[in-house]
Amino acid sequence: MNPTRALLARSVWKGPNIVPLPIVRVPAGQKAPPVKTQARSATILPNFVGLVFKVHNGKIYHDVEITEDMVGHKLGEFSPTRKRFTYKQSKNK
Amino acid sequence: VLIWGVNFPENRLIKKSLETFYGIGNQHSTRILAQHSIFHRARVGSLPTKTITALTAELSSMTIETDLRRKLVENISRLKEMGTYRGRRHAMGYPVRGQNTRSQIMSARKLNRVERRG
Repeated sequence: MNPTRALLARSVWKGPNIVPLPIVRVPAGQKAPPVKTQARSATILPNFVGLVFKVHNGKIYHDVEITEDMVGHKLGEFSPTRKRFTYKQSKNK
Repeated sequence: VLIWGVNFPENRLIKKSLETFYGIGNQHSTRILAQHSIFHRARVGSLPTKTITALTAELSSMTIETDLRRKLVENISRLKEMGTYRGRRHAMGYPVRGQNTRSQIMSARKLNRVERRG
């Protein structure tokens, strides 16, 4: 994921990056199953709020629950792609 | 002379005095002076009381000082709470905007925090 993509924002006249995602509309009272997706560049739309997505990071699918704050962002921002850097001094000389 | 609770000496330029508030710089101070038809090189002592009251009212309606600082900190903590990539970078003190981290990250180390000042 290119982190500057969020700042070089997509032009408004183009509309958000809408990706066809398999969203299941369940009747009220039932829990929707998590939506597995590799589309990290999909913009989060208002009708996603409350759903759980499994976003790919190259290796595993991260669970992301969508809240109201997340609406303008992309799915990939919530699924980290790199392990945190830790310095381990190896004992080999 | 008291503007918005802060005392200014009489012979100081009004433009410079307005710019001492956090959140007001060149652009905002010029706009405020133009709106109230104040000469840009006027001193604080030359303003009538009516103008001072108008300036105070204007300043209380803008987001400056503590309101602005709170807003900035809120923006960053919102990113962190959501669990975004940007929030994580702020928390770790690394560059947020995609710079290389192999070298030259001193500005990021100094400035990028969750409680970032200014």
